Amino acid sequence: MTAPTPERSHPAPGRQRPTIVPLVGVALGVAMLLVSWLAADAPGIGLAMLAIMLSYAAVMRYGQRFESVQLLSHDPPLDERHALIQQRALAAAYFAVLGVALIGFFWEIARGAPGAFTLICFVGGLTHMIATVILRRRS
Amino acid sequence: MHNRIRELRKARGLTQADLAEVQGVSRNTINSIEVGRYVPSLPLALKLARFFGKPVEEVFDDRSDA
Repeated sequence: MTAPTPERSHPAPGRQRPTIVPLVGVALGVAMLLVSWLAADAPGIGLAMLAIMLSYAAVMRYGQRFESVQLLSHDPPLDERHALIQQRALAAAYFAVLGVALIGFFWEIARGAPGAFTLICFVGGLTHMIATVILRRRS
Repeated sequence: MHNRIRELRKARGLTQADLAEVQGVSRNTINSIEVGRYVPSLPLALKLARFFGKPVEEVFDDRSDA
């Protein structure tokens, strides 16, 4: 005896078209163009960055047959496994940035001139501690 | 973790995409569960077991000698 087949809940997540991430990509590209053009008088660099961001947005919008693109382009994630992969990728990116920031921090300390890397380490470390406390109370 | 998802799915004549659509997850997630690369959450495991009309212990088995 087999269980009755339930009604389909909703369309398969992979068929959804992402909109937010590609739009944010386009918006960032336009912002890069405006900042480099108006603030730095370097429209060439701005146009190059806009072209990169437009290409990125196009891949995010139309490259949905690839799961990696689905993972990068959907916010919120499509399902629980995608959410887990995104969390782990975020942690990997955090540790990569942290590594570079620590190297930069010690370089600044050695020169006796705290700067951007010192600020990044401070903000990152403080955020990590506060987030741990808050998430512990919520879980 | 071992599971019988593939066996039960094929017995029903469903593709991975069919099962994914019913469960509201991606086809890749179903494939990852079937090959043991991804362990589903408790709600999803219960949903899958309920879909196949089996107790969850008959669908998923965490014993290494299974």
